[in-house]
Amino acid sequence: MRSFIHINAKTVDEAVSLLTQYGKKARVIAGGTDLLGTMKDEIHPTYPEVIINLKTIEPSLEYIKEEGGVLKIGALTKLYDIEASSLVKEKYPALAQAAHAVGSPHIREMGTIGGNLCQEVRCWYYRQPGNRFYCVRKGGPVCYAMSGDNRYHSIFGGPFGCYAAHPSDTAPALMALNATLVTNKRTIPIDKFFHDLAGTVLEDNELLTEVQVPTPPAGAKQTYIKFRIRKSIDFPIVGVASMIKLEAGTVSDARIALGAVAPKPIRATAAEEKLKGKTISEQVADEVAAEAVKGAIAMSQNKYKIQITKTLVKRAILA
Amino acid sequence: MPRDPHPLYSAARAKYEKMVAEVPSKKADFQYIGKSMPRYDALPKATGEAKFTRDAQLPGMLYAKFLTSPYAHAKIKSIDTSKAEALPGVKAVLTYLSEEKIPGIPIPVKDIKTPTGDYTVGGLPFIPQEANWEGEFVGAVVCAESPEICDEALKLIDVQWEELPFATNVEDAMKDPTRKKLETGWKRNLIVSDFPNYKEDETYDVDKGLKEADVIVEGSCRLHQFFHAGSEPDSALAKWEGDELTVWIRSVTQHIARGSAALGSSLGIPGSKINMVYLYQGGSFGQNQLLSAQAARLLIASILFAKKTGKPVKAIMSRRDYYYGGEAEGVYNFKIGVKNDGTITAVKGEFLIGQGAPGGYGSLWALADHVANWVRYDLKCPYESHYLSYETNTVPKWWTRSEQNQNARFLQAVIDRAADALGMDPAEVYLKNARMPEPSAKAVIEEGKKRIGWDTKWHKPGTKILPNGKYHGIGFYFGHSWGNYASTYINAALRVAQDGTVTIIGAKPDSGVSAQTTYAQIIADEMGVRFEDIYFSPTSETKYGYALQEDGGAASNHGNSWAMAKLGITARKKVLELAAPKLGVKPEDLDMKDSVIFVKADPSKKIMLKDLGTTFTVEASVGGYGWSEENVYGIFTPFHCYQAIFAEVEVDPDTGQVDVINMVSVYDIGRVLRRASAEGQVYGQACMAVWRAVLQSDLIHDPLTGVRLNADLLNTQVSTCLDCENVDNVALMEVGHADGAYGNTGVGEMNIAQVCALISAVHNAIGKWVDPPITPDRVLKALGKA
Repeated sequence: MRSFIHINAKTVDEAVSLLTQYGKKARVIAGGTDLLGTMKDEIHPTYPEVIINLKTIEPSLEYIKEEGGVLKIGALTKLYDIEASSLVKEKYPALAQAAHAVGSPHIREMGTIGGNLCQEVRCWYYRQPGNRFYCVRKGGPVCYAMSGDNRYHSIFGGPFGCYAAHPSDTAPALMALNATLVTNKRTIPIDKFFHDLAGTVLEDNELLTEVQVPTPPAGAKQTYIKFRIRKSIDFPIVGVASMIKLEAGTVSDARIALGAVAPKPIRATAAEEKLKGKTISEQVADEVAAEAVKGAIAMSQNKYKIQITKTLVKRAILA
Repeated sequence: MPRDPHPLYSAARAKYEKMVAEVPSKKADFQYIGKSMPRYDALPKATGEAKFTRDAQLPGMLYAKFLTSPYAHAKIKSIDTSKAEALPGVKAVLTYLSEEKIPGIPIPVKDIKTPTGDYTVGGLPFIPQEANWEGEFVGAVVCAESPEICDEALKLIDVQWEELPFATNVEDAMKDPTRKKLETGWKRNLIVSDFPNYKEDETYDVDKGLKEADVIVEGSCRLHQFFHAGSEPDSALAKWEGDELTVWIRSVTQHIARGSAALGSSLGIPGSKINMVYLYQGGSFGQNQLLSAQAARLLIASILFAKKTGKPVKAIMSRRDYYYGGEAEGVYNFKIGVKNDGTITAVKGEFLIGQGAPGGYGSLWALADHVANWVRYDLKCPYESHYLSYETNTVPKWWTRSEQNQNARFLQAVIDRAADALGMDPAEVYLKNARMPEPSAKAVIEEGKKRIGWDTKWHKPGTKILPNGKYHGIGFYFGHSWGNYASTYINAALRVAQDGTVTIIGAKPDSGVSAQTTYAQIIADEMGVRFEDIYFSPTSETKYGYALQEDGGAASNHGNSWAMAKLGITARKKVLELAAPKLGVKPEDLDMKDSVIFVKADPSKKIMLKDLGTTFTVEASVGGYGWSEENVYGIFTPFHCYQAIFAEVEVDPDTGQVDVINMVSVYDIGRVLRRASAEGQVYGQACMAVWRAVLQSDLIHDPLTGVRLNADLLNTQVSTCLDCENVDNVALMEVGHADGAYGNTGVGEMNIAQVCALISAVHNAIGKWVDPPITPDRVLKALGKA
């Protein structure tokens, strides 16, 4: 691994000021489980000169608390602490399930919620060591997966021609739970946080500091279902999160989010609309699931992801 | 009518029987043999104290790294290393154009070739100008103060490439008429006359057999190219002292006795001045034969740079570099004739093999021999094969665990497809058609059936849906190791020290499941000393001239058991001779147990081994023993390890996921020497099979560039313990009598029987044939859902 300058930030302000100073030459580090891999493999055309450590920030950004009916999770909270939190398990089980579904115990004890949301996409062209494929996501001319091996790529390709898959487990869960994300500058609804090509809408000197989740409405059921080939440790082939509110046996509100099927986590809004006002049954679940993949376009090798997405949406509705 | 034994068989048999007479074979009352004494390597490996070659450090050590090809097939038109050479910290750069002679090495750098040895194509350029696969070492190698400086220097090398046409798979290779290929086949199958003597079947007639059939089954199946992803990427460290060369090497775990000479020959220096040191080694699953081209390049680079700079030099591979080797890709077309009662009347097979680039196992011919050869021993019916092996622009191939995986997969397809065509139980069809030695085969099959509940669980394919909505499937495969033979001359020593401790001496790389501990158990029993007084270091070196059997992987078990038995018996005899005058009796009046020498008639008269206060060394040599002596292809090998595998799966028809819910592995190995080691091998095979069969285990190439897309530990989904929770139902049987000193045979070199059983089980579940890796995309495709 190449050398770099490592700075321990003592406050959020200091981290932001360092980000302002170094701009694109700097990257922030928390658990480092994604960042260090990208650096070791030198997947990007440029290499960060400065790494700003957020773990030294005081007061710590590592906390889980509930204030005024809102769950507040510091960006540096470890995934293991989230899955183990009785508060999260009890009131926000979809998030606990999603945190538990990440990587392995070792990774969850290092990786943070902020990092899980801000991690880079999965694509073996994008991540090939030594920037071997200068693809559209890096500013290059094409997406190599389109004519290459795309078995793990998106079925909802981005508007910018990138077909990578966004691997976060917690993002779809937080999307279903209608979370908002707090930075040093603003509060962003999670639906607006991700970007097809840039990953997130965070500016160069903007830092994610907190995740806020409103208390789920009474009568709402929620779940996160992850499909992966190697169950012990893997990124999702598809992840589906849902929060469905039932009133008198009828769906009054529904949020369904899909992970790993697009370059960013997405809402299945048409499916949500179709579900509203219905009584849940196997047939309704089938119809809604079909709606969720209506816009999906398979490439040469990933048609199976459409079938799996459909299955998972159905199972999330029936869960 | 029994036929006359082959003359070679008679000669080998006589030699074997002489050895049996020297060593008490298959005694029942051992104190240590069959038990699981604590492994010598357990604590060092568990605590991290074990030093692997990668960890080796010497003062002032420099590093070396190769340039790798970014293309699947390309030639260097020009190269400029001036910027790299000017980088601070860079000590030297060598290229394919370097005409210099390194002091003491009589061959110009550009003309140095990789060593040639058993199972390894040598004679390839040390620094090639042309790369035949993406990632191959090519063009230049740099030496610098740190690995990071090496990396920076490599980036500064300016290369002009000429890209050339490539093919990373068999189908693409077949389209290119200029591609190097080998075509062969077998026109006769072999039959057993008086087992284990094989004869060509003179009544052979495949076409007649096909005409006699009620049903003709034609089809195709495949085995994917696979890399085992062992834990330790290759590295080599070299140090010169005058003209004496010491190399610490990770890459050679077999044929170590021959390594120094082969390496010396390729460099034009005497092998007698080369000492090879083996520290702890990460698993290589049979791949690390004498020296692969890549490993040889690494080793030669460290040697040349060490001489040139006067400092120790360590040449290293990255994790990605290490993704070379592994199993060749096979496509098999078959035509099977079968009668309605399940009798197979004839089989025609076509093997299409993607051999990979030069630099791996033997030659196209050698692999052909192994692949197309063996099925003819296993089938009773006439069998004919046609074999086409192509060089492809992917990593050079060996095999993983056994060179017989291609055969095993083919044979499974033949039996399973014939059974499927008739709606019959494949185990029944197997028993009807396979030529199996008794009593082992029936014993392992019966035990396996009982353990899994085969007779109540087997059903017709695609007919059982469980309450959870998943398809239930159950599969079977019978397999065996192939041609375990011992051709190396084993030479080992045993030193008894005045404190009563005993040291086993013999170069033995850290391969297998702590074979050193197994051998110490034999010494403890045969000599009569306490196990804790014996030591056999997991690390070793070759300069003392002693080396154990390593050929053929699992052949080391039975080969080395003879050497250990002889050492133990000889040392014990010597001890009793030394003790006799002290106790005032004759040596034959004495016995020794737990390091106490005592008078048999009056055990109160005794002396501790340590109280003899003596030091001596005994030697044992074993060479070319056994029935397979004259024929390395094992025609006369009387006993293999026999295995029956039964597997159960659940297949989710809506996601295509295959869950392995139960696997039973029953092995007859003649005699268990160290139980935990043997069980560990079987369990390891079962775990790897889960990966190979149902997880992503294909080495995947970008179709447009030939770049390896998943040459990393994330994207090759090595199964973890959590993925293999239900595959540890392992039974070891001692029914047959193998040619080891105790009736034992090795268990490590087993083919992909567990993979085959899983393929069979998935078919039983969904009624469709799916080639491995049976990932959800393939299952859903087979079910018409993707």
